[in-house]
Amino acid sequence: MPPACGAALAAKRLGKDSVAVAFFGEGAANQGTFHESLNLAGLWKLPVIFVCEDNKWAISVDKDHSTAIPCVADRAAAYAMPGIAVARNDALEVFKAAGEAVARARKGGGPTLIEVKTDRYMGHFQGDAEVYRPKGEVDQLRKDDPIPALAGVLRARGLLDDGKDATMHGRVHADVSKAFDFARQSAYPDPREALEHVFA
Amino acid sequence: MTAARKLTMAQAIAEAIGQEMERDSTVFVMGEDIAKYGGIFGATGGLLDRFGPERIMDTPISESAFIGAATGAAAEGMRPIAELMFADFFGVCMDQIYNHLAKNTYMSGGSLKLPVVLMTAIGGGYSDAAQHSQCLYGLFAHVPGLKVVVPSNAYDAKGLMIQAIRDDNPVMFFFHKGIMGLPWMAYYEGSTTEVPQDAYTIPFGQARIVREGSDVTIVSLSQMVQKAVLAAAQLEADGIRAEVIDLRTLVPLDVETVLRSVAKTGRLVIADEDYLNFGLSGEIAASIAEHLDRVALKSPVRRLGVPAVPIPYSRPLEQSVIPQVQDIAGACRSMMGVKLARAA
Repeated sequence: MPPACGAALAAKRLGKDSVAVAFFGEGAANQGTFHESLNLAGLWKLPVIFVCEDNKWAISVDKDHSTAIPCVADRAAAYAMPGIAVARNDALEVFKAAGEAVARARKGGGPTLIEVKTDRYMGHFQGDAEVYRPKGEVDQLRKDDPIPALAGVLRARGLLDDGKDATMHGRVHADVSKAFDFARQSAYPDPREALEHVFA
Repeated sequence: MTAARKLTMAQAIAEAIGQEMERDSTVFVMGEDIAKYGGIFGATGGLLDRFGPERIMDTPISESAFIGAATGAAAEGMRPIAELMFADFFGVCMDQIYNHLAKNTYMSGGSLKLPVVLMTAIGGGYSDAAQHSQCLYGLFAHVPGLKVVVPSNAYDAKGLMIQAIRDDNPVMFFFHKGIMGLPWMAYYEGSTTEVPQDAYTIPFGQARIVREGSDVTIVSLSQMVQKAVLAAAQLEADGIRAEVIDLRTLVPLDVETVLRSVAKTGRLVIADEDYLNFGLSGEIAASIAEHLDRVALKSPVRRLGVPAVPIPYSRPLEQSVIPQVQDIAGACRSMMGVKLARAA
């Protein structure tokens, strides 16, 4: 979050219309840097958007056991910026809140804190046994997956049909497969490269 | 080049920053009490009036936020200078320094340049106690990705600061409070020097031989250089010719100049104000040990530094843990008659 404040400051000083965006989880919202960054951004009216992805789990500690208030977006009030809490897994609401935040930042209106409620389907790391998680929780959460939900909205509005859906999925699968192939076929780096790029 | 005048080290640093700000509009300064006050130790004196509050920015007491912001601003094309009021305060912002500022160039495969100068005050000797008196430059030199600059006088401070601002990498710039030439704090006169008005640079990684000698090498830096020079004058009266080396930068470190000197004198005293254990003095001693094929020692290496205790508040206690002129002179004298053990 602090480097995002700096990037926003640079945009302001250099007269660019760039907006910096920092993403973090609800667990990180209890770090000192969260509060320092919001204060600095609010004080200096920086064109920066802080996006808190609240999936309720910080590795094994759930939000009820880590955070004094239920809504991280409420903390924005203490730092002179709007705090927007987006309903769980609602992509269109995210789009709307982000658009308003970008417009506000570009107009000199300063920062915005957006809290997006969402879900975590997997463990925090490879090999996480997730013993802390209620059995069957993920199966329940998957029923509200935002991707098919968004597809449903787009179909209802006539913006998506089976053909377009298949094309889009095909393109994404091809891109990912290509990236996997590239990674698997690439040689490992020469050990001497470990010593490069410490300094520019 | 225009005429030189005498400047204090604080004035020389402020002049260097001001000249670079005139030359390059992307240079700006952030820190606590650096604007109206001009920096608690004077490193930004007079700059607010010349450059205004958008380029000379007082910050909240939020070191993580503004040092991290320096990293972000540098990534976007600015050349920030941030002041950490005391090196001792690094504890509240070290993640931004060693995990972000120091590593992002490497972790981006060299695609990110981070031209940040992080300047900070170091050193004791004026009863500011354990949390406001440490040097700690060895700790930052230990971490990869930071250049570490520790000037001993006004001339070097100006040239090294301009070099630091023009460098495309993070540079830590440590100024010792006891050589800044502040009206409210005792300081060593030798640190106030003639300084040319025009801008000039001093390359990193070039130690300076402050005084030549043939009997013993004293390796030092920062305020300790001024003490070493006074010790060398005392030693001369005893017929001992000491060579005083000012390292000027720790990263990069000019090992070659130290080796050449010790090859000549055969004796080495390291005079340091940082903690003795696991630090600069051990690093220099190890460099000698690794080059015993080039250097013939006449006596064991001696290290002077702060023992493993926090810096005490009480003046006599503080003076006793920080190496003084007489400690340096005493160490040199005691080496003269000592012989090395011989291999079987």
